[in-house]
Amino acid sequence: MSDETGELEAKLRMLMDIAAGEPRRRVNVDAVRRGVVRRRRAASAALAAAVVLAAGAGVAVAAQRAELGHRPSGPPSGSHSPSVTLPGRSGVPRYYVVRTVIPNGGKTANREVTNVRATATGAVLARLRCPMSAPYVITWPVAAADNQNFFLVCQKATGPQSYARVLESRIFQFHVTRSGRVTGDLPVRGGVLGGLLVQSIAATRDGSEIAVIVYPGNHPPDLHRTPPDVIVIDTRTGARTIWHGAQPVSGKTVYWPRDISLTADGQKLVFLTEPQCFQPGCTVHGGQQMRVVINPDSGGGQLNSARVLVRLNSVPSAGVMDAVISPDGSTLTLAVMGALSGKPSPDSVSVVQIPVSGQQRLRFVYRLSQGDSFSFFSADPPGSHFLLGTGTPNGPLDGRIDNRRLIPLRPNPVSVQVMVW
Amino acid sequence: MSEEPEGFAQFVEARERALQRTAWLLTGDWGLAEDLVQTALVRTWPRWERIRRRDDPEVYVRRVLVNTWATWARRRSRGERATQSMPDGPAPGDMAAEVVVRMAIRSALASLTARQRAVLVLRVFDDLSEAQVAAVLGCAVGTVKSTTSQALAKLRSDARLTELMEAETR
Repeated sequence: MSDETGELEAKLRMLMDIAAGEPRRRVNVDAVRRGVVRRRRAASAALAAAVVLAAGAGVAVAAQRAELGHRPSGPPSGSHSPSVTLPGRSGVPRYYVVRTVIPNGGKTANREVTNVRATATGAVLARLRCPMSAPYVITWPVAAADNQNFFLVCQKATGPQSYARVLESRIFQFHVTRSGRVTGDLPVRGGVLGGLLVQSIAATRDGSEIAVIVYPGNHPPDLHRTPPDVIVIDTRTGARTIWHGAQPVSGKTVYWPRDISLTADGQKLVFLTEPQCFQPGCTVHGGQQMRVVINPDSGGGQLNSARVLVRLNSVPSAGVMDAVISPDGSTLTLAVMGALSGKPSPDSVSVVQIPVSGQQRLRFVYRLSQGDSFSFFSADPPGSHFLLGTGTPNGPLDGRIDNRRLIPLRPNPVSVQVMVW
Repeated sequence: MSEEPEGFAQFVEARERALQRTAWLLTGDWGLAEDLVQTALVRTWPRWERIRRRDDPEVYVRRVLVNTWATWARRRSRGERATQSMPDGPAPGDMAAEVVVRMAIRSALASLTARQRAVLVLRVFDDLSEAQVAAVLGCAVGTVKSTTSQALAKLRSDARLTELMEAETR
C-alpha cells in the first residue's frame, strides 16, 4: 500500500468515524430474542396454514384450467412468487390516488375530490381535475400503469352521484413525477366514449392497452337490466375492440363482467362474473367465475362466449367482491367477504391468492375476522402490493396490505370511495 | 421463549454499537441500521453455538449483516421505496461540522456500488484485514484489493469529500 493510499484511508476512517457518530438506540438481546420467536412462529404458522388449506378447509375453489392455446409472454408461471413485502423494504408505490367524499351535512350535495397522495405521509400532492366544463364531472374510475402513469375517466354527468345520467365520458392519462407533481393531463387516443357510463377500468403495465366496462349512460338506474360492454383501447393507435354483454333474454344465462384486469402483455382480459338471469323460470347453475378473453384487442365478440378461467365455488356465505389477475397471468388475487371456513362464524374479509394452474392451494394475503363491509380493492401494476377498504365493528378500515396487516392510509376520517395504486 | 445461547448476550452487549455504526455506513439511515443489526443477530442466534467455537464470531455476524444488507439493497433497487419518516436529520447535540461530515460521507458512499461500499466500510472503517474482508464477502483477496482501489479512486473525485479531507489535514 502506498503512503498516499494509506493517508487517504486514514483520513477517510477519521471522517467515517465522525459521520457514524453514536447509535441513537441500543439493540439489546431481548429484542433479538423476540425477533427469533417471531421468526419461528411465522415459519410454523406458514407450515400449518399450508397444511390446513391443502386439506380443503378454506374456500373450495375448483380451479379449471382453461384451454388457452397460447402462453403469455411474461415470466413463466413457475417463477411467479406472489409476494407480500416486508414493511417498508421495497417497491411500495410512492403514491396512490384516492377519491373521497366530504359530507356537507345534508345542506348541499356532498363534495367529491380525487387526489394524489404520498403513501408515506398521506400528504396531498396533487388534486385531479378533469379538463371538462360541466356542473358535475365524476372523476372515476382510475387505473394505474407502471412508472406512476394513471388513466382517469372523466364523466360529465347530470348529478353528483356515480349513477347519475352520463352525458359524456373521456379518458385522460396523467403522470406523477418522482417529486409528486402531476405533469398535466393527456387525452387518451380512442378515449372519447360519448354518452357511456364507465364502471371499471384496467390497464396493461406499459399502458399501451386499456379496457373499460361501459353501460349506456342514458338510463342509469336500470344497470341491472342493461347489458354492459367491454371496450379495449389501443392507446397508441386509438383502435377499439368491443366485447358485448349478452341481452337479458328469457331463459338465457348471462355472464356480465363486474371487474376487469389485464395481463402485462395485454393478451388476456380477465373478468369476474356470476351467472344471472332476469326472467321468471330462469334457473342459474353454478357460482361465481373468473372468465378470460384471449387476445382481447383482436376482433371483439360476445362476453358470454369467454372461456372459464376458474370456477369459484365458494361456501354460500362467502362471495368474491373483486379480483385481479397477476401480470404474468398465473395467479388470481381475490377479495372475499364472508366466512371462508364454511362454519357459522362472524363475517370476515379476506384477500386470498389462487394459482390459475388447477391446484387447489389457497394463500391468505390478509384476513380480518370481524370485517363487515367491503369498499374497494386494488393491486399495484406489478401485482405485489394491495389496497383494501373494509369495515370493522368500530368503523371503516382502509389501507395497504403489508405483511398480512392492513396499514391505514390517510385520509381519515373522510369517506374513501376508491383508492388505487 | 427461546433459550439464549451461551455468550450471545455478552457478544450483543459488547458489539452492537460497532455493528450499528457499520450498518449506518452501509445504509445511511439509523432506523435501517438498527433493523439490519437486529435482523443479522436474529439470523445468527440459531447458529451461535457453532459460530462461537470459531476464532472470530464477529466475522460471521458481519458476513450475515453485509449479505442481508445486499439483499435489501437489491430489492430496493427494483422499485422506489417509500419511507415512513423523513431521512435522518441532525440529532440533538449534533454539531454543525459533524452534520456536514455525515452528509458528505453518506453522499460519497452512496455513489459507490454495493460491493465497493461494503469493501470500503469493512476495510477502512472496521479495519479488517484484506483476508478477513474476503472471508466476510466470500470473495478472493485480490478482488478486495482491486475493489478497494476502485472505491478510493472514485472517492478521490468527490470534491466535497476531498475538501473535508484537506481541512482535516490543515
